Amino acid sequence: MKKWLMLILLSVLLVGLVACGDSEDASSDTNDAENNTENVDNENNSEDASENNAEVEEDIELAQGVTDSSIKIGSVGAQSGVFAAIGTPYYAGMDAYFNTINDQGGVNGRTIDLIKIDDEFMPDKAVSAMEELVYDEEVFAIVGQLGTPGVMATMNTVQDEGIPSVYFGGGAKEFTEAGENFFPVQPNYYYEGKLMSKFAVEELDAENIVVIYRNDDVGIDGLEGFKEGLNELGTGTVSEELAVNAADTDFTVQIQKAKEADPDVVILYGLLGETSGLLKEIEKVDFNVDMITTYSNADASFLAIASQGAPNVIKNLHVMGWVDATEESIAPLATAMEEYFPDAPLNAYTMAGWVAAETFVAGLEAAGDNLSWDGYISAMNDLTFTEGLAPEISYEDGSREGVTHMALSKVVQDDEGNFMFEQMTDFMEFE
Amino acid sequence: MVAFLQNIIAGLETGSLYALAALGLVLIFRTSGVINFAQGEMAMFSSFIALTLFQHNMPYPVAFIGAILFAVALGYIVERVFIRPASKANLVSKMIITLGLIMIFSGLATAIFGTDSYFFRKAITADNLNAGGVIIQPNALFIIAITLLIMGILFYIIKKTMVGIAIRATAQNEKTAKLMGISVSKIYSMSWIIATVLGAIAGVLIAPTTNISTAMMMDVHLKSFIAAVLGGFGSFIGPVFGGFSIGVFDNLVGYYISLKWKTVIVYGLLILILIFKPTGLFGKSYRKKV
Amino acid sequence: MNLLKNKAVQYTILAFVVALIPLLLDINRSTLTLWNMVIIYAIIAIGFNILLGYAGQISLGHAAFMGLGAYIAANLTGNLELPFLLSLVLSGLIPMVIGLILGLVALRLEGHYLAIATLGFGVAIQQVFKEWTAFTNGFSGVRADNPVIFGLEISEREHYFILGMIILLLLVLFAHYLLKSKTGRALLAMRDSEHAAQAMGVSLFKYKLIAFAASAFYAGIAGGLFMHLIRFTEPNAWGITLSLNLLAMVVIGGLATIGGSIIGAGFIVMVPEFIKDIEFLASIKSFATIFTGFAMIFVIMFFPHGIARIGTQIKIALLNRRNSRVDKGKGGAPNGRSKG
Repeated sequence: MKKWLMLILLSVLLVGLVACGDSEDASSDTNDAENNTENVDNENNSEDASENNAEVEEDIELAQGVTDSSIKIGSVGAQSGVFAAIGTPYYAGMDAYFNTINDQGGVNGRTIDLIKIDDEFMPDKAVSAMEELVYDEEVFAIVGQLGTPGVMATMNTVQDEGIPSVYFGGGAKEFTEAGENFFPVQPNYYYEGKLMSKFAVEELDAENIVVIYRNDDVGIDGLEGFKEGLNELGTGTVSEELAVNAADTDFTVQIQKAKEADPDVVILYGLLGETSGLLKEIEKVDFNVDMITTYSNADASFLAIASQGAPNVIKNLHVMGWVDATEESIAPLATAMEEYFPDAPLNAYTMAGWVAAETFVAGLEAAGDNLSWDGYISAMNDLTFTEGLAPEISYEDGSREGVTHMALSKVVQDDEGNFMFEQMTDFMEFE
Repeated sequence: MVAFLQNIIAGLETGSLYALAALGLVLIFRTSGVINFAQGEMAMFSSFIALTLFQHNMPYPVAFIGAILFAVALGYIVERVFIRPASKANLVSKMIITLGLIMIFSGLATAIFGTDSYFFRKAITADNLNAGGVIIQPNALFIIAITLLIMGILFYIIKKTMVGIAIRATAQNEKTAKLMGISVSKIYSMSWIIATVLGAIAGVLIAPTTNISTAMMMDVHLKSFIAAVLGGFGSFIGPVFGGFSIGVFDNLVGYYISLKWKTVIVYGLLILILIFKPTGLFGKSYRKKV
Repeated sequence: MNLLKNKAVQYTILAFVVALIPLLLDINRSTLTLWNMVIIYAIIAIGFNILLGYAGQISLGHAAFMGLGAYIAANLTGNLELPFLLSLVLSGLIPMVIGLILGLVALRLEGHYLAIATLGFGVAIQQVFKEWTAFTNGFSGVRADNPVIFGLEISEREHYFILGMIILLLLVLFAHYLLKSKTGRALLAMRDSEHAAQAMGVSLFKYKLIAFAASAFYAGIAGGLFMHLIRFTEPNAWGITLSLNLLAMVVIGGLATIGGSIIGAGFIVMVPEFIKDIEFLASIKSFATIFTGFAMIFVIMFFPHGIARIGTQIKIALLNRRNSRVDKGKGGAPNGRSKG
């Protein structure tokens, strides 16, 4: 009775097996590769113990994913659904950089082969995707993993294996404390919040401040950092903390309350959707106040949308920036995008993807031929990278803060009516 | 007082948009018993059409009408291709079809229009009115008026015209309606077309607030369900009232109680109201036959 | 031979055979993670099927119960250091109590009104997850360790798969006997007509509560297992998308079938993965989303009673054809067709 049930279940399983069949050969290699990396570990340990560098130079065991002519790396991030709005330009930026490098012959003769897996912004799929990259595809490193929940969920795997993971598309504070093999680049929102308070107080003479924040990991970290910053500076008060939800369509309450507090500065800690909505509401009630928003909004596409909805008050808006995006500095990116992705936009996410690739390659160049995981990590540990789009990235002394130098820019309008950012301060740290 | 009135006015404006989207839901539900989860995604698609036309230097009214014409075709195609062939399936299965449609439309929109957000202009761009400190946008008044107008038209059609009688007959009993010579498939087709058009209108009108993107309807769509249920699926006044109440209530709770706990309070109250009025505020209680 | 005809025995044998597959074959860890997810979703889907398929009560808020189970499991094993199995049971029981409350709401509501009330419940609970940081640690999320059972740490996916399969089997058997009993018949009667059921002396109060409690229990257990498999969770995971996916699983697999719930879970987890692997589609942006949507619609259109009932459906179709042929042979009008 109901034998068909068993049949179907089994055939479902069989289909599953068939689908995985092609990678079965690979998985027998897994063991070998694991042994290899273990060897590397052992050798490097003994290297530390005996400081016998000469011998290591002769027979370096390359980590998984590295051959004489190529390096396989992986990334996990949303490429479909709502978050594709971030993932698509982001990965375009990353691919643009790697394509450029590969067309120039790669790094030390090795071309870079990037495998991207879509996790649909779901932590469970991110875990499976990460395992596929680490154990099946056997990539050398994870570069530019996108989406905070996914990074957090896969952290265990990355920690357990010790695979280098460079750049996280997200600004959670946890990334900075995840471990030796984690190399955050993008500033975390907590640090940005702190720095924002410094700019608010020092550049805009703020005493009474209202913070409107996106009620999720982005905004809450930013708010906490901001308050801590004021605390350390010993000046200025946050008179209202106003939450806004990611999908809100009505911003009346926040702006009414902000207006009543009569602040010197309003912080808009949110992403494109709610920030442009808040600006429209501010324009509507003609609320004339200095504003600062996060680096996530520091791009032309934000400006294009927000300025149309709030053409007057947007001139009161200041933006944090961690990418030194002058026309000259983004020229290579612009050229590469023109060549490889002529239809894709060039926005903050594209730049982020580009920086992710750039930082990873900087580490590769520093590591030279010593491409074991330990080799790469120790090369990164000595790295202070200043030639990229970001002003300075340093992992020296075990620092994992990512970019800490940021500048404040102001929205201005030129004679032809175009809106643009004008840098007000140097790139600086909180201290 | 100014803040109070400002919150009310804005709530009515936002509520109108919920109501417009909800009217479409209710129309489909009343004729065929199906809840169309894809209403929001279809509206998003139509809004992109308006945007594309507008970007190609068409005047605003042309872009608006273009979106409506597209919605007519879209509603027809969806009903004909996806819903009608599944006529044998039960109602829950049909709801799953509309879940599948969500994925198809959001995926297609990404593939065709890309993942960026776009600004879209308001229908009325005249200067704001200032009534003793309360700022009123002419566009808000326009949106509220449109909503009430459409509600009136639907009400009239359903109550007074032959089409309306046919719709009501179909809703009550498909077989009897057929026997009475009503072309049931035409009625279904029409209700999907009208509902999609209503969605398109809501989409184009809300675009100035949310920007146009593949995610633009997420919140509106959810709230439109709640508006429909709060007001009751049984009438057209119900969802409009429901939409207005949610829009206003959301703001009042946010302003006077807590922005952080707003969602919990509003949804908690929704459940409470439903417990006391199980068929919505305007729903008629009915007795099920054994 | 009689023993083999017993469904419970069939389930048990099948579960053991399947549980051993990963041990016998060399299967990727990532694939096994997905299989484990199928088991977890299968558990919540079975519970949901008791609710929707057998009792006829809809809910669009069940993701909240799974999330609750996950957070409870993390807190109990992490902060209170309770043993894994005890915490797993509690992560089912506590949501069950809250499920009872939702059952009380359902006494007043039906159909779409119930759907939206439960949806509101789900959204509200998700919001509570976001704000109640003492319990959930907000968006920073909570972590859990590998489960430890009687001193054995389960870190390999193969072993987790066996653990999951045993729990799934227990819950399948529980559902099987529950639904075969008087309770099951009462639930079906209630689904078909509440008034008729009441007239026959079925207490709606009791059975609606049973249905909601059982489904919340299953959801909580699924959440607890999820927590120890993925070892991290945060509030975004427990939203309306999951609740709607759950509905899709149960309908696609087949309402009122236990096997269907498992198949439906497999469908929703695995189909997007298969589609992602189709190379020639990869050039279309978001193709996986689009084609998963099409696949769902395709299944509903051609197998409106669920994948689990394909066999029955084909049988009926064949019978009909034979009947009509016989009818034609007799020269009579083919009006004796039974409707699928």
